[in-house]
Amino acid sequence: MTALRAMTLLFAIAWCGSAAAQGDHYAELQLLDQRIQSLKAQALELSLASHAAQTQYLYPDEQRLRLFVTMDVFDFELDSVTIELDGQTVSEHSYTPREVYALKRGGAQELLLTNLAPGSHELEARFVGRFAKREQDAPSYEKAISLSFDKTRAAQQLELRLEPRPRGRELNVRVFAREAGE
Amino acid sequence: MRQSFRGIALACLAVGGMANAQFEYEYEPAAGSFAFNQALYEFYSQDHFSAAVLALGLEQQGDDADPALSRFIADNLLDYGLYRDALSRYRRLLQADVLSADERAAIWMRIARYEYERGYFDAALATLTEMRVDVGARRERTARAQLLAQIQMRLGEPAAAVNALNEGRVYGNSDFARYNLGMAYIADEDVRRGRRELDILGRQLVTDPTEHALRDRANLALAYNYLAEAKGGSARPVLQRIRLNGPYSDEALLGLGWAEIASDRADEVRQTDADNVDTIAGVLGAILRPGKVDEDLRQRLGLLRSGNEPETEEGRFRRALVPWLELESRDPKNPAVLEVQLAIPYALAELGEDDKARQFYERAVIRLERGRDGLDKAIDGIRSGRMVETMIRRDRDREAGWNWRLRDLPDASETYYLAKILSENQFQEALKNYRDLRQLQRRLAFDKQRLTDEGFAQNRASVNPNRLIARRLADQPPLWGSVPTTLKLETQLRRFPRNETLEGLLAWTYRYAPSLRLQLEQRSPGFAAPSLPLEMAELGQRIDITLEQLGELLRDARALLESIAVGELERQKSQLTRYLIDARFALARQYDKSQLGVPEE
Repeated sequence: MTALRAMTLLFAIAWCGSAAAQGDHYAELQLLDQRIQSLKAQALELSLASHAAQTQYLYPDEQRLRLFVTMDVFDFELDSVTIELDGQTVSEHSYTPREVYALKRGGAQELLLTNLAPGSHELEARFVGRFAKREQDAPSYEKAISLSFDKTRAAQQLELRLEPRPRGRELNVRVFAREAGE
Repeated sequence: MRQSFRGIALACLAVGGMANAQFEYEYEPAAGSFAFNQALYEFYSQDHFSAAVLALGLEQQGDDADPALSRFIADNLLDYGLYRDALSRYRRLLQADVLSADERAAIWMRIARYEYERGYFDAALATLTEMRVDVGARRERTARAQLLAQIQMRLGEPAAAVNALNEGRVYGNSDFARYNLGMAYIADEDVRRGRRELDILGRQLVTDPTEHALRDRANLALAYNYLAEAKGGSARPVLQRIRLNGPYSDEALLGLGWAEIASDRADEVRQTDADNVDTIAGVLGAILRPGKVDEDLRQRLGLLRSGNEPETEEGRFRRALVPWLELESRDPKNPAVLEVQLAIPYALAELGEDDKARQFYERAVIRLERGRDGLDKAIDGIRSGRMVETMIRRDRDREAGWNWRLRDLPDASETYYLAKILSENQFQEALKNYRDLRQLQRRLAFDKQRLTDEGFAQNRASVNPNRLIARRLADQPPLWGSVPTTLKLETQLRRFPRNETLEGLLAWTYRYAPSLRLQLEQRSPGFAAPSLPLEMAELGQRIDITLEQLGELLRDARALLESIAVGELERQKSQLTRYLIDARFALARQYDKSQLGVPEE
């Protein structure tokens, strides 16, 4: 009987500990959530306006150049990309697995937004990654391209698309000019 | 070293079930819409705020309302925690009847899950009730019934939860549903049926880690239910089904000791044939066999007799010590490990092993005091604001919003004590809100920087400056081109002092040079620094106001998180203090007892 009494005592403590409702903070959470939602809506509106204003004033049509990366290859894990314009490195990006997944799902990543004077320019792009998924020891594969292009007096968008080559584990990079409203 | 989050996640699964499983929805790249694919990239990168901004921009440009785009925007708004805006879009889509039954069902469930996780239980209930009349509801029948039951349990309506789970036998489609049904029966005081459901689940053969965790959880719940009625004989075989290294093994070992002590009462439960070496039954069986496992432990159990014990109270206490000594050396932050610090000397004292009991009580006091100090430090750590920032450090720039999950615990003392509370919706949701605000603060500050004079000038000059100057000079008319050719320096500037002394030259310069400079500036306005457009300056001011409001909200959000965490730690501290008082009293009794046998000088 002594044992059972002690057991009841100790269990009462343990059971209360695990089953007792934690201080319920849902009411406070909801009040805060309402305020945060209002602020988020405000920030979203500001962000839209700021995005439009920056495009208009910071990157006027005549000079605006956007560069995108897309992927049409599924067995390649992209690690990084480096872009050079007229001999100067203008963009370097290291990818997270989530970003690579987004590219594989058809997403177009805006890698560069800059002003560039109309005229002839040199672009170099270097892609580094691995063909074997989730194998850190897999050999690194690098693909570099270099091209000349004319920046027109209109806003310009270039898409660099990674594609598989028909034979072997190699990649092609194709470049597409995209219309601004496309 | 990072603390694994697996145990917490599994604990959460057993309580929350499907509510915590994110619905995976997919979008295909829109054919021919390169602009949409940019938003798609942000969406799949879990940057929902950016995805929403891009998609809203597209919507503003479009002539017709595109339901697919509207759905995409609504999904991103909800993922970013903009529930009200997302809801109004979803409602319009549901009323317009432009979606398939699958899409409608998915939308209903997304709304209801969000409402449930953020604690809007009545709204979630209303959403699921409304969903019922939609034909799409049939496609999500099991998920809907489970979520409905969870809400009803949360609202204290176990009978309604039982009905929801029994309807169409949804428990047959999901082990989570069966677990919830068992718990709902017990809460509804239909203990016999509740035990039956938990027992079915607890005896299942499983291979998947999640199923294993759920089976352990069901066995633990069932066994503790028996122990609450002191039916140790029934609890024991149920506890022995639990894995020794699973997330519930500490509680199982503690309960097993008590089950041994109260093993004279039993119910109708059978021991499963599925027990194997990784269950408590398998491992403890091996410990009792000489030469099998851990000689040190065997030596500590030296007071125990091996072989079959007679069914006496002494025998039961000796058997209780086996799982308790196994538990005693585990992580002392776990409440079950703390409790066993008292249980072991108590059993030893009952067995008449007073010296050993005193040693264990002394050790318990030291450990409990150390535990209390640890809790004090953890509370200080939380109040210093370190905890919350550490938790959100990973993926700090990712805008995942509602989709974000705390994947593992940072290596900070306070988080070890908070494993349970960190898995609860209210803490997770408050943490997500805080993280969203911090991320928004960085984003707005970045936007603001570009909307200042300095930022504007810097960003406009992002073109190669050499090219810009070369082009400007090529377009620029000759600097003196518009100056009348009749201009004569001697006449205009009056007696230019040739062969003048230095002082005279300076005096002349000070007098006439300012007017010359002004004249030149007026004639070449293209070289003036660009000024910030009014629209951008106004936007900058609005961002300043928003940042101020955001700072206030951040303080409140952090205060809420800290209040939840500190509340939990204070509760643990109070429990630990009770153990400490018990231990000291028991130790004092042991000293008194030992003094009784010593003759007075």
